[in-house]
Amino acid sequence: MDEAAAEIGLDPFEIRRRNLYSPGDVSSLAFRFGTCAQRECLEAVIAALKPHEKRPRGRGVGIAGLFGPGGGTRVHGNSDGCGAILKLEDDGTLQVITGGQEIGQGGTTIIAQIAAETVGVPYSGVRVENSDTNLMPWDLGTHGSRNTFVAGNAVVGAGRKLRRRIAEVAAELLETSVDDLVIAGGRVSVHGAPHRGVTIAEVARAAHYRNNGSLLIVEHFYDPPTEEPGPDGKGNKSAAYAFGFHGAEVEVDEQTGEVKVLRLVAAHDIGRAINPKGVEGQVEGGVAQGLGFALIENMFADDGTLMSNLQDYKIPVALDVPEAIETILVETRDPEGPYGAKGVAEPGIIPVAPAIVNAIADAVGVRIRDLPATPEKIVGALAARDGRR
Amino acid sequence: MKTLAYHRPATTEEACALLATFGGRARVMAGGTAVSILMKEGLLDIDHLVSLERIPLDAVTWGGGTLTIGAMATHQALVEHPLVRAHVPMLADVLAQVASRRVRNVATIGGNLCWAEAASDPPGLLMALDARVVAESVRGRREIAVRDLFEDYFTTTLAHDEIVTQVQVPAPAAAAGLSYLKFTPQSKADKPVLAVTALVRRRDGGCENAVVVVGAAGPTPLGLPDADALLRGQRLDEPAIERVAARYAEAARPVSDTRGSEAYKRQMIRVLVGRALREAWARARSTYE
Amino acid sequence: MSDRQPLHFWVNDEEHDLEVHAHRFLIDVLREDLKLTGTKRACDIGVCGSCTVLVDGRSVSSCLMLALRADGARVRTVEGLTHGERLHPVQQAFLEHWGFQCGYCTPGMLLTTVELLAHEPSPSRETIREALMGNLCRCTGYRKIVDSVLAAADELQRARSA
Repeated sequence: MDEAAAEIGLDPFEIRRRNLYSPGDVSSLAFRFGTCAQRECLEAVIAALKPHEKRPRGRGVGIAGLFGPGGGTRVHGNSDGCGAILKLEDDGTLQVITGGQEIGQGGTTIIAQIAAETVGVPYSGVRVENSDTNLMPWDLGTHGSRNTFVAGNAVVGAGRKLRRRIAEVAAELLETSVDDLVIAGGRVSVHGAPHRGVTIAEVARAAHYRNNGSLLIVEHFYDPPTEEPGPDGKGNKSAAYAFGFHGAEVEVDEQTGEVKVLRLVAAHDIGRAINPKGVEGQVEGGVAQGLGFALIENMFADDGTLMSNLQDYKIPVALDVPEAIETILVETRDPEGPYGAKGVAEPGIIPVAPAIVNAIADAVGVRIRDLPATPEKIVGALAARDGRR
Repeated sequence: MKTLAYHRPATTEEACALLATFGGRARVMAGGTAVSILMKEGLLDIDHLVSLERIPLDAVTWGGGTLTIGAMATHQALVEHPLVRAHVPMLADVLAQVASRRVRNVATIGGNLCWAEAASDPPGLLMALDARVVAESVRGRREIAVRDLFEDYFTTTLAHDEIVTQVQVPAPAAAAGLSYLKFTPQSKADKPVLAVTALVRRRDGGCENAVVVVGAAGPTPLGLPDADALLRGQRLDEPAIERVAARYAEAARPVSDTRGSEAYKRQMIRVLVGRALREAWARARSTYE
Repeated sequence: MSDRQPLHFWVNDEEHDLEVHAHRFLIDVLREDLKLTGTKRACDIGVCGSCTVLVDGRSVSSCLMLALRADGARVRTVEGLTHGERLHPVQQAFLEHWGFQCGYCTPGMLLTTVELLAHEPSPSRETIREALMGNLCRCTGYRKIVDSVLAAADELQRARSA
């Protein structure tokens, strides 16, 4: 992109400004972009980076944009579904059995938050089962940045059903209509008369412990409204798309080729941050991985054997990652996402390397085309730049 | 390894006797970090480990202008030791850069020298300061200059049954300037890809004495007294520095590996020797005699 | 087969008298003999820090310490940070500040932090990064780990002056 800009006489920021998607666009592969805050993310990164400020020799800035699936991805056959089962207990606590698995990303927390919010019970009273496949309903897997969106929507669907059932029982107890009820914080009360109410525990007990009782167990299977791509690759395979821009500032030691990443700004259109610290964690982790990919991580084969020990295959440590990582979350409230959320798991890593490589080019005028951009490669490129060899 | 016996002698004499008795079927162990890796790699064919952990060999004393350090003193203990910080603070700075805190808590200075890994931080400074080690065996005691301790990759001039018990580090002249550059172009958490040490003593506007050591660029740390001598009596200007740096870059024997090619490393030796000399020069205070 | 040799030590303030073979490492004895699986094995060569334990208050790679070397020592694993149901302030801080994701590096991070704060009660962010440079994390990018350590430092200072 930077090279294209240079050829046609635009600055790298302007070329991106002129080639952004907007909400409602349909791409050449028939992706339908609902919410899309590419422009906002770009401007946020430019504002943070201040690229037109004068910088000392050897320092430069670069940006790179991303888009990717943020609402599931229908690429494993013609299904992208996930199930959820909710079971309300006598004591008012809620057992959620989700198909979506926890891999450390915090899926458990998000599912619990969504369930609590949807059903109207306190977060502290939600238990999540997501590791016993004897119990868990079908899911395609935690990949493709799909867990919050797909598993989350399954819980939303189930939660709404459960909320309805709770309302029906409570309406009987409170001798009013279901439309007159407020459900929040583990309690059901009459609209306008908050003292007239019952706890959700009392509702569950009432449903169970009576003549001709019933259970308060619901299920929901959510399969996003998407299309399996055809043989030509076209088809709206995700129900929402993630967008973002990263900006990097680097300092290059022209004698050794060492690159110091001074700061990284990451702006992401995430629809809705159900747990802002969780989202930041995903972005910050992606930034570190992207930085490793860009500058440090080098796979070698020795006689056909991949050298794979952590003494030789270096990944970033705390000293390799800059202190100045700024995460900007743009909330576009996607109508299809659970509470507006879109996926963010993969986006955090995507634009890091190109942003850094662009920044190196801005800093010292050399373009590295082969990662990692090691100091040796940079020194070699600088020599070529200066006509030395 | 299933027939391994673990010995913890209480004195140096006992340890030496065990090594003499068991010969090649025994190995001495200090902190244990390096020996453990050899064991895991299946590279140790022994029946006896002779651990020095119970021998009181970690004292640090100061006298006659020399720090006398017990070989079993850990890196971290020396980083924190008031005598080290008072009399040879550069040693504390260099040891603090070795590996991680976990390794420094356990690995000993004697073990570091005996392991003789090329990609190591302390040897350069110890050579520049003319440090010596004391080695003991059933045959007696001898002193070896650190400069003469290293023979090849992971190989010292010690006999198999000799134990290093002491490291003696003369403090540099008060006005000397010291510099250590640990080159880690990949991740900051790495062994030195190049380890460059420089010591400079100033006199008025010129260099009274300079010592450079380039480590991790060949089987043993590289010192070139003839090259260093080029700086004696000279102003440390760019041409002078460049002459010395070029000599080291040419004489070193770096190996192409995952951290960089031989050509790149040679080029970096030139750059780093220059930077280390400039830094040492800037830190040196002029002496008037 | 050689004889086992006696290993007498304390783990999380509990005294143990074991008989172990000389070639076994501390991590194996902790995980397999004492069933303390909080200490993790990843790289097995002392680089990653997931096997970190405290021996007499100092962090070590338990994958590189022969078990018999711990004779007479007081070892603390991550399990030894809680008091009954009460989390250690460092653990609490990591919980509140999202200092972990998959959790694999976390026991090592926690114990390294305990050691750091014992020696340096008010570290800067840079000091914290240096202290943690031997603990690899792939998930978090380290930022929230540094946040957690700072919060723990504040809490420990507060508790000290209270």
